[in-house]
Amino acid sequence: MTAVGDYLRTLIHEFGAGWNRFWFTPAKVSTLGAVRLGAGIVLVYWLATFTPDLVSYFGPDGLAPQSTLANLEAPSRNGSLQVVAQPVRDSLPRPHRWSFLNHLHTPKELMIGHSAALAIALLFAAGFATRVTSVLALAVLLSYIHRGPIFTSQVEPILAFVMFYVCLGPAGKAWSLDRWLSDRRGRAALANVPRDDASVAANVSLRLIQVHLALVYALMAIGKLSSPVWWEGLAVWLLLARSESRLIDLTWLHAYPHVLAVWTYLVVLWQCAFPILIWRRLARPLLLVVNAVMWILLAPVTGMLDLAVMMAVASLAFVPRVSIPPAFATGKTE
Amino acid sequence: MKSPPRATDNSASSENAAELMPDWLRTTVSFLIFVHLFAVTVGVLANWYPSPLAAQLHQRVPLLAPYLESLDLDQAYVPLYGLTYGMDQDTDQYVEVDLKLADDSQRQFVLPRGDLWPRQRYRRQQRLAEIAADLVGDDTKSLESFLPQAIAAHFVARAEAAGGTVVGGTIRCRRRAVPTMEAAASGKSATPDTFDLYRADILRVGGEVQLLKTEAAAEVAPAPTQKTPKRRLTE
Repeated sequence: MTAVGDYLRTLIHEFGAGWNRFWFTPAKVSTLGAVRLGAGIVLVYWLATFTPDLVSYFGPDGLAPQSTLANLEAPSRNGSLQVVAQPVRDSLPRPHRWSFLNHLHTPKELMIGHSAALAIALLFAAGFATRVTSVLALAVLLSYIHRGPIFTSQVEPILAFVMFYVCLGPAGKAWSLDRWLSDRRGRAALANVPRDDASVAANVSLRLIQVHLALVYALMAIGKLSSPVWWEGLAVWLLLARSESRLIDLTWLHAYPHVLAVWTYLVVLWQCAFPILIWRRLARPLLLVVNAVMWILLAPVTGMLDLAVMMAVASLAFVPRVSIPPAFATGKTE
Repeated sequence: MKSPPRATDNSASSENAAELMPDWLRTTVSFLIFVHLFAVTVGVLANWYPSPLAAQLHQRVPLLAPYLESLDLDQAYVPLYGLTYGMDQDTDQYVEVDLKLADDSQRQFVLPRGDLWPRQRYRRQQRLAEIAADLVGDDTKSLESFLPQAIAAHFVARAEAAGGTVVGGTIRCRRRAVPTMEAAASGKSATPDTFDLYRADILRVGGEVQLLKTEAAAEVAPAPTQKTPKRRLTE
């Protein structure tokens, strides 16, 4: 009994110590700042591309009338979402959604609201008043997602969780106007802090991004392992044969089926390895490089440039430190 | 004096890490992290082949659904990020709207429009067309007309804003076949086959745009066949 008791005590103690180490060890704010900058740039681009279509989508006689969205909520409301084809389930409107766009009806109102949203996104990307603009930028992103879920695809869920976690930490302490302004003003409180200081809150933010991203990769891998086209080496062909989605035509690769099969298996291997090996410090740099290469190869084949960029931004959370270029380093460096 | 623990360095001692926050704060944050990760896990499990337990948790745990849905965390991630599963839906789909005007002329609109730039604009319209097409089916009959109706109404309004008077038309949700490697090798894939998934006449009734479905999903031509038999992830 004593041995069992000792074992349980050690187990609980080690688990607690591991939990504390994982979540409460300070992390460099430069990494979180870089993630904020990357997510901010993606958000600005994503929002700016709404500009020409804003009225067509959300205006009077738009493609996404609120009454239509309300009707499409039915499967979520009555729990019958499973009858809907898998690829569209995640893009069907849910009952709990809110959007400032719901209250804007005329083209003029929409353009004013959209301009304000773009301004918030720009301030967030630049890292100005980051504590406030990060929350506002998340509200802006979610407003557009909730107003037009039928226009959303792969990039929005990743951007949403990254921005949510960025809000929780000191994302404005590096790579930001906040930092630059505070250095210029020579505020004692910040000027004496090493430029790339560490913070527990930054660690919590980064850890949440890491865990969520690893979960997404694990689910990507599970999905592929459950599908015969990935086992049989045909999946990459099915992607590059989609004439409207791809950015470049690589169908001449039909002459090299073994190349397509190897490419398919490499995608599966990469996505299986990522959520496991990314936690090993030695494997991490290699895996991040492989990750970047795989997305660079997949983006033109799938047409998902936005997703490839967003995955690269989210993967930055695994980089221990993102150095500030000397040109921006006006303050004290560590 | 103890030096602070190294950032994101797993070798830092837990005691040092723990010293940086008061116990009550660390416990509170730990609890919130646990609750959040639990919610995300339930969101995944409740959206992809849900067990009765996952579905019940999603529906009955107070505040869980509003939390996940309002933050766009109510995701399975598997279907969207699988890239392809070789299913019928994993092909290109589009919507064609042909409008007849009072002066006997015709106007045609296609979603997604091929010339849209930057790419993100094209992807949004592509996604709308995909959802409209993928909602066609025996299990989703009650939903399949909502998006085509909204799309038709939008293009009718556009045509009329340009000075035309729309008297009728048709709307079709179509799917492009993915050619097999053998078809590509024989040069047969230059113009991929397309199939109607949904077809309806556009009617003007008292100023409103209404659709009269003219082709059932069951009449759709078979989807393209790959070398391997297609197995579905959907139930």
